[in-house]
Amino acid sequence: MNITCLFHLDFTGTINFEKTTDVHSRQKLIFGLIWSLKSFSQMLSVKPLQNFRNYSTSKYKLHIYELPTGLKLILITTPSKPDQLEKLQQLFQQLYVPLVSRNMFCQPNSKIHCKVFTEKVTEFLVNT
Amino acid sequence: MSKQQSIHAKQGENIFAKNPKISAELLALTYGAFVHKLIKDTDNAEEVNAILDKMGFNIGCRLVDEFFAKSPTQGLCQDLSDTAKVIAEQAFKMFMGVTAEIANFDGDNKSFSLILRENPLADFVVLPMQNQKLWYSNVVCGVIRGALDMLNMKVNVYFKKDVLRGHDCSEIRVELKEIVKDRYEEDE
Repeated sequence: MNITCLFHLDFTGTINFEKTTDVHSRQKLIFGLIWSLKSFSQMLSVKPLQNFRNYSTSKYKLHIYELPTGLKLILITTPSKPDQLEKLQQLFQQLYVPLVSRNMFCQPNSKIHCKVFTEKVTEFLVNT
Repeated sequence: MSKQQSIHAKQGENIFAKNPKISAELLALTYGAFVHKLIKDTDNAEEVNAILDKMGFNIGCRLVDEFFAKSPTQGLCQDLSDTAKVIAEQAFKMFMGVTAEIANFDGDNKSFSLILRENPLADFVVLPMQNQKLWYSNVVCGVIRGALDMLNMKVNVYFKKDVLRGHDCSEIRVELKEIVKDRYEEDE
């Protein structure tokens, strides 16, 4: 199964993107974490569960929006932020679909190299 | 059962109403010109069917994102009959402006048929004698296959009947081959 990280952005400046091994292992950790969270939360429920939405620690909060296609949008914020599900939905509806899905230069399930997408996502996240 | 049905149908109607639209004639004529060109280029109806299917597959892979963007409350379907309803009543309405009927579920719930009473793609079409092997709207099969592929469902989709070939309605058969389970294996 496909576990590529299609796109990432960092506003904190704490991640050194030149060390690709670090970034890669970080991505893998996040994926594994979400995978386990999902199966764990499912384990406690008899009925099929809606997706896991977020968890918070004293330092950060991690928000997840997962689509039925398996596409996952993950946002890490300060713990005081309320649930960002709607924001991530908007991001998917207003930016991902028009700029990536409808963009014939972006192949589905491969890394996103679209410059406009990066700019718009930055704008979207910083300004709202 | 009927209430469930109406939910999907209603959802489809709502989204259809909000969607920007183009003239059905423009679509029919463009698609017609396109198929015509394909036939001219390849001169082989079966090859054209394959090309249309492949094209549809690529469209479907992307269209499924669009579908979930417009219908964010739609989660994964529990079973194939649910899937059938969502495709027939919601997706067809959203993207084609028509609804399909579901029929002929087979015994073990592995395949079903979508009956199209009207097909906006084939509005002005008469199939010439030498192209009787052509499934004119085969692109639709590809779209369904592509969209379900993104949802980890491997399916066979093909036309069984087509009004253009003199049948009483258009019938698309969808057969489920397998549902690929999400697996995650350590690669170290």
